[in-house]
Amino acid sequence: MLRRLVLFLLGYLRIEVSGGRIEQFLNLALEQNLTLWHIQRTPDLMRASITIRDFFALRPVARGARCRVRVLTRHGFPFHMVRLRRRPALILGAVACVAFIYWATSHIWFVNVKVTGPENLDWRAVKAVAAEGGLRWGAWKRDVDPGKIETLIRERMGEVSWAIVRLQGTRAVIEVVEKQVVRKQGEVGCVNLVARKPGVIEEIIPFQGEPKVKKGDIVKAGDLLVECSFKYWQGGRPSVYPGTPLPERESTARTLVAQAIIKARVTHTNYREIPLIQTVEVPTGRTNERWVLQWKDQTILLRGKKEPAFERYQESRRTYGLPAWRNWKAPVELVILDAREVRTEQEQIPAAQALQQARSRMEDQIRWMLGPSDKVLTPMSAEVVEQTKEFIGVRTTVETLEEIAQPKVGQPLATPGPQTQPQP
Amino acid sequence: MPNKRDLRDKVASLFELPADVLTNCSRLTLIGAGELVIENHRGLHEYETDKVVLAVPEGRLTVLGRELSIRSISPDQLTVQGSIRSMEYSD
Repeated sequence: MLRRLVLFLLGYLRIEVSGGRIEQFLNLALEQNLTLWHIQRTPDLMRASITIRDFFALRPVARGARCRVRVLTRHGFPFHMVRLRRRPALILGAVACVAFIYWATSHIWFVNVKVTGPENLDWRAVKAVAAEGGLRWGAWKRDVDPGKIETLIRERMGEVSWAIVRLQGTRAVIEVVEKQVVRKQGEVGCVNLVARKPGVIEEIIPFQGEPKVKKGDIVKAGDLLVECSFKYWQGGRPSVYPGTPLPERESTARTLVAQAIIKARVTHTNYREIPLIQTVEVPTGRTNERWVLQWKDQTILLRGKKEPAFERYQESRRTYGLPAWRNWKAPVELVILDAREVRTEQEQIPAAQALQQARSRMEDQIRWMLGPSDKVLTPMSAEVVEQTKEFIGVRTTVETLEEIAQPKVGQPLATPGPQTQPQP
Repeated sequence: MPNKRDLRDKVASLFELPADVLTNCSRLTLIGAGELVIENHRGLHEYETDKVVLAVPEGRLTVLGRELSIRSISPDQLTVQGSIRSMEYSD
């Protein structure tokens, strides 16, 4: 096997020797220390294999034995190289292929996180900390130090008791064991619901725990709304949802979390001063169009200047790309950027317009604050409180119906033992 | 006075050494009837598909058989392949 490999690397020829005396040819070759193999004889000629180096020393041997030597076939790497030299693209392709494989296998392409424990820990948080330490999608494997990342995860995440990072080819596996809260025997954790803003309770639907407020109550931020409790204690198991099956016995060691829908009327009042002399942007009429080919994060300018030669401008963006198919989206798209030059001017605006601006700002604020199930109850009222030449002071008031409950960890509860179990 | 060759034979015999170590003789290794390795040959006299005649220190070695071919040949070793029927030494 090794000999064949060496012969392949050195290159060898299959030759045909005819005429003269074949035996003398072989003896003369031996005298010249030439090596021949696979010698096959026919009545008229002989075929043999010889290395390239020995072949060039064969001329005096053939002349001495009066034989004629003809090359039949060429084998080995040097002859392949001659053929390949005529095809540089093929060599480049092979080199690029090897380089690509090396490059692709030198990176991390998958980061998997495995969390063991009570599952309060989000795996994305672990991934984010690992990314800070250099372990992220596309990172060079040689730059990733598993020991350093393990230490970083343990230091940065107090919930983690143990972490290990393993590199398996192009995949990194982060295994994390979460700390478990050890409670005293016969104790369960407690999470209450408290108000996060003041309001008047309008609706309360408790799912779990004991409501402490009723419809019409006025609450302020931080007031207790629903308290976690063993409301319906039945033989050692806490009932969490009335009417649903009782939880397993092990759940007595869990944390009881109060759950409820609590909506309240909340009044939002805001005072704003809107300047009456405002800076406005007026288009000059000059425009600049740029065509940019965007490939992921890379951009290639196809047409126009790199940056518009305007001091101030407003820009609009139009994007053209291939149609998406299922969850595939073409990574290349054409972006046309239209820049319109503007100049700034000081403009006196009427009080009514300033009032409208105050209303629209309040509307934006309320829209940002409200959740999906919240709504505005009354139309917004806006009154002018103060007016000077420079500004106008506007007070805006709006009433909303909002979900105001937020969880807050309370004192652990003692589970009632068999002695204290009340009779149903 | 004994000649040099007899002396070598005696030394080889005395120290129970293989004869080919000290004496200038050929060494033949026959593997079944399909391959014959001849070490310490002196060249080729005749080469046909049914007969290979070699020069060896002892004289001539004639290998008879069918479809004989020389697998490899180098100054100190020669390998004959084929269906070997007989071998014969002659002067």
